[in-house]
Amino acid sequence: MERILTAQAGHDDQRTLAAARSRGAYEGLRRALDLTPQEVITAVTESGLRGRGGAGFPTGRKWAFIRPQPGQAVYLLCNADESEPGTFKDHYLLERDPHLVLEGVCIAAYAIGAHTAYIYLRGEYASLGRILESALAEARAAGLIGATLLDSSVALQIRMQLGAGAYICGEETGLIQSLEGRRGYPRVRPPFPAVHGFVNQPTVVNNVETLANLPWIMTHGTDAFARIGTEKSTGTKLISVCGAVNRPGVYEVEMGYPLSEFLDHEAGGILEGRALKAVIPGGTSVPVLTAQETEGVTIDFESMQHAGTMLGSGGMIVFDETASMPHALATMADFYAHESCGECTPCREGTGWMAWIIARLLAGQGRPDDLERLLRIGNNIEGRTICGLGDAAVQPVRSIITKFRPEFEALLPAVIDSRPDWQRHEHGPRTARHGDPAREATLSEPVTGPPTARL
Amino acid sequence: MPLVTIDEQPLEVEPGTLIIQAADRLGIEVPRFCYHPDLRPEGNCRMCLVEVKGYPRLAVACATPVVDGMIVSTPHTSALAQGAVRGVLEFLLVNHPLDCPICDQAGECSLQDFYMHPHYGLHSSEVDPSEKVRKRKAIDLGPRVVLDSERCVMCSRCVRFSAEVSGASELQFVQRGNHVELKAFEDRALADPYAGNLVDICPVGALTSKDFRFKCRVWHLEHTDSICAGCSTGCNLRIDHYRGEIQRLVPRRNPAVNRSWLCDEGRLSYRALSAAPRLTQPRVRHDGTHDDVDWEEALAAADQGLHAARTVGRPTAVAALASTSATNEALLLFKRYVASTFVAPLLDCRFGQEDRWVEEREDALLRRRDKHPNTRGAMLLDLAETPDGGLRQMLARAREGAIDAALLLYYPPLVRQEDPATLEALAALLHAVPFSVVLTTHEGAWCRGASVVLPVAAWSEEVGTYTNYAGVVQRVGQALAPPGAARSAVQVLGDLLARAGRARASTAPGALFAELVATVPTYAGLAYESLVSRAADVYPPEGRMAYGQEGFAGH
Amino acid sequence: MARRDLPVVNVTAVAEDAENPVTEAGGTLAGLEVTLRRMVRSLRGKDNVTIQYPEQRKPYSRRFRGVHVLTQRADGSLKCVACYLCETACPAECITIEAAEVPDNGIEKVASRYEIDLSRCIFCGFCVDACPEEALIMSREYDLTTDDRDGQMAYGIARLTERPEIDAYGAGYRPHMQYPLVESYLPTQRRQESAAETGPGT
Repeated sequence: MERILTAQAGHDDQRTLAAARSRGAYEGLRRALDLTPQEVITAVTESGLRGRGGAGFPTGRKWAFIRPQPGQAVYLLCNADESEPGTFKDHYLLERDPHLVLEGVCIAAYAIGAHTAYIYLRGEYASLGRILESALAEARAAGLIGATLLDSSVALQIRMQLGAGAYICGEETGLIQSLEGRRGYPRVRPPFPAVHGFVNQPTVVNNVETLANLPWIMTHGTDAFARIGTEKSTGTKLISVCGAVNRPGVYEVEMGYPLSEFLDHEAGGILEGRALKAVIPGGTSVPVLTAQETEGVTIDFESMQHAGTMLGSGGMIVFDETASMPHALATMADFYAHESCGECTPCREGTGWMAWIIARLLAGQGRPDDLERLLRIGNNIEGRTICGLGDAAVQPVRSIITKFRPEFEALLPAVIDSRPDWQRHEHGPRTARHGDPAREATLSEPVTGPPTARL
Repeated sequence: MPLVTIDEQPLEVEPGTLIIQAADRLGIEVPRFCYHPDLRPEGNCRMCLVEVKGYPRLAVACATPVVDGMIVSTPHTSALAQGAVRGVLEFLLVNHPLDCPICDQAGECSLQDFYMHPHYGLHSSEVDPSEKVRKRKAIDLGPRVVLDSERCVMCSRCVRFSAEVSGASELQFVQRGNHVELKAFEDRALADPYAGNLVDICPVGALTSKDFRFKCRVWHLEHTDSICAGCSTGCNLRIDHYRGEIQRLVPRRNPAVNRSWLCDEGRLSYRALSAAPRLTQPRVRHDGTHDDVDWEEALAAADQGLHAARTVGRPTAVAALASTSATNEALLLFKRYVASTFVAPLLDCRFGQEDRWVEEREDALLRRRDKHPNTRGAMLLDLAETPDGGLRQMLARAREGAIDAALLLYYPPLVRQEDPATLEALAALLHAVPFSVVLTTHEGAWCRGASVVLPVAAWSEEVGTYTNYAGVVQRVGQALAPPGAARSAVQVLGDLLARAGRARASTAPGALFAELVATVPTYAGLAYESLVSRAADVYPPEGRMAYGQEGFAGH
Repeated sequence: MARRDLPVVNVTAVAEDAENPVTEAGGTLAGLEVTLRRMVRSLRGKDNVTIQYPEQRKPYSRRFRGVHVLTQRADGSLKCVACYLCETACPAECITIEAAEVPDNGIEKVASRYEIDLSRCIFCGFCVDACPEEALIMSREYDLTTDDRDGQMAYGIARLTERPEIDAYGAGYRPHMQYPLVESYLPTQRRQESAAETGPGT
């Protein structure tokens, strides 16, 4: 298999400029600079490269939306906020081959006419930030990036910004807001970032892995890239696999590679020879597949969609027969409740509510209609929110409850006390606000409802 | 002009109009929390979801501009939109505390109002109160505002107001998810002189007024539309009163004058009316002290005294000073009385520098330096006549012995203490002239020297018009009856005119205004009935009478 | 038209008959038969619906709507939070309330003045229906007499909260009839409970 992204990442010194250049780093940029920006856009479009951050939007088409008015500046933002649970592929690239990423940033910036680019790096990746900064410093010192890209007349400043621990800042407009120094509250669209983005200028936000594909496309050509993978999902994909497998890690596979083979070969099979129970192929924001449903599925956008899920970010989480799906779901629901920014009503209240209900199910205090309630809440969130976090929160809840329902029904208590709450108290007034010293003491701080479950 | 059809009703609108604005104009209710016509749209509450034909997802009416040929269905006609909005309202109530009994917003609360609507609410709660997220309550944010973060629905109207309108930027959200809390930095008292508007625009009881706190329930209140008498801007407001007392003032929306805002000074201006004792009975000076008399006696004494006051060898020299806080109608009659009764009166309206300050701003938003509501009106009636300026010049002439009598119509300013120098000058004037008649509202040491004191109605107790700094004529409404035997200045002046033998003009408000229109060229074409402020984009729309909030700027 | 199956009376004949005093007296006595029969039975003590009030009293329903009671919390504070719903619901407009602040920011509001003018009250119970807090209930006290209408008939907080008649007559109309007070206490209950740490109940 042709390795597009991980060809040089195995070398320990790849992060230093000299070593990287000796292996071809920045050659792609040189090729790109020989073309006009429009030609670069065309090449990338025809290569079929699609966004690798989760949405899978055709990259060339996204770039083509940029049509700046006179006096406007264009910005390229590299989304290195990798926070989708199960996803650590960008981590691999940033750590092992930072120059590949930087080169990709340069190519993209050149194509869209941006002279300033930002790399928004997840705050938890601070150690990677140091690696990236030093690579950037080397590249600047060598005159590769800065007032002139290589020896062209094109200027490009690349700056790095560290986030501070918010999944929502990996959302396109949440990232832009954060970069502008505001709360990471996503924006209502339209207008889209291509028209009104960073500081209201035309902006493109691309994922690290997407950008990392560009040097190879430039050096090997559009057709070569398009020949790899499937017709609509060209190229390769980094899969970060974790969970109940013998060899968790980051692997580059050709698009169209069968999922079950990946689990058996690259991932080394299920731990201790157990049976596969479920796979989440692309980060918790995509629906789960049962073991049976994985048969015949290949790792590409179309096959995954056909199977009722999505390729997403490629963050694969594997569950074996010993896994408790309700506990797994509780962890995921807590994640979305914790990460919801709180701007719009359905996600803010819905994710929190779903997390509580799942927690009380696990605590044995579920109500008979809780499962229906969870599905109903999910339906009330989906499609009604400002950004995709709301939709993302619904996928695990809906798919796991639907496909593993008996495990949840087993949690419902045997004897249902359906009396109204105020009748269930044996002694004393129901609200027990006064005359109850225990409750008095806690009234001064915010109380967050029943404790959430932990795996 | 793009054509939009909402619930099968077509409307042509200007480009850039939002769906929600078009719906308001059609009288179709689209529920909303975060949208406000005078704040930048944010689209975060998701209550205004509507179905747009051809769009894959529901759209937010408050952030979607109309496109020609757009076909929109609101929750009233679209099951999809209705289901979505019902879901949003249910979400809003999940963590909302059961505070209605203790919350001042009850009766004018968007959550209550929308919940009681069969299209949006009336669902059964599925959340036990003990499961709700708890946050801090009853936080003191300074002299105007109390914050209850549990009740907050995070619509961000207050954050936007504080950032965009008043510029104070004192409020922001902290935390994430359903723990988001509205917070003032370090819980500091809000320093914003427009903080009272935060209470109006808050759709729920998260931000409530300290001034109004626990006074009464809003459904007890009676409403009277009026104009603020605090400065020359003339902000539109509504007087809410109960049991004969003003309970609060709230702004009415008028895009041309004050948009949806009131300054805090104006908002609290009603307090000045009860800060000092009111005059309730006419008084006549006998042997150095004032005696309470009835109107017959007082008017007779005034009429007689003014006519009898003369110095041999010259016509009666009268100093006549009418405050620019008086209504146009009162000023009209005042001028007519003085000009027709006396040959060469010193007639003016300036106690200070009102005419110079009338347009000067005091801040970037609403307040102006001239703390009188009708200076422009007085100037248009040519009442700023004396060459060197009113009170001071009159006092100087009086001290020379050149004045025989004084007639004063005086209202104390509502938002500031009167300049002590002015009060001293007034007192001195009254002592320097042999006979004086004072029409005023409040007791005061300064009018002890007056020969006759006639109690008149205050701003909230009479009808009439004010002309603001820019020449906009607006109607003042009568909320309460004047206390005791006090009467409206228009009536008193009408009586004086009648006693002076002048034809008694009708003192009905419309009739007097018609005379004003005939007198002042600038007012040509105005009609009293149409003076109620009807901006082109009235908000909320006429159709929204259900909550009795027509004209209330908060919604 | 007269119904065919009913006897037809010849009123002229009846009138002529009435002139006979014997027939008249007999008719009157016949009409008094029920009354006389009752009187004899009553004198013998057989069935007598008159009760000798106030020595004897009729029992009233458990949900009788009598004079109001303002309930308390466990610490003795008024449960009422001055929401004004009772005042608003009252058809006779006989309730007057003024609200005040309470330092506890879980409660915030209390009634500083709560007055029911019992001379206007029609004892409909709408106020109890309206109250969201179980703060206002009605006792089974019905004999409300006074010799000073203006002074004695307006019950304020003190008399509505605590008076001997509350225990004497017991609780009547209240939100949850089949249970004891759920959220609040009557004064004696509260004292008993804090003394004995047992559940409330009437």
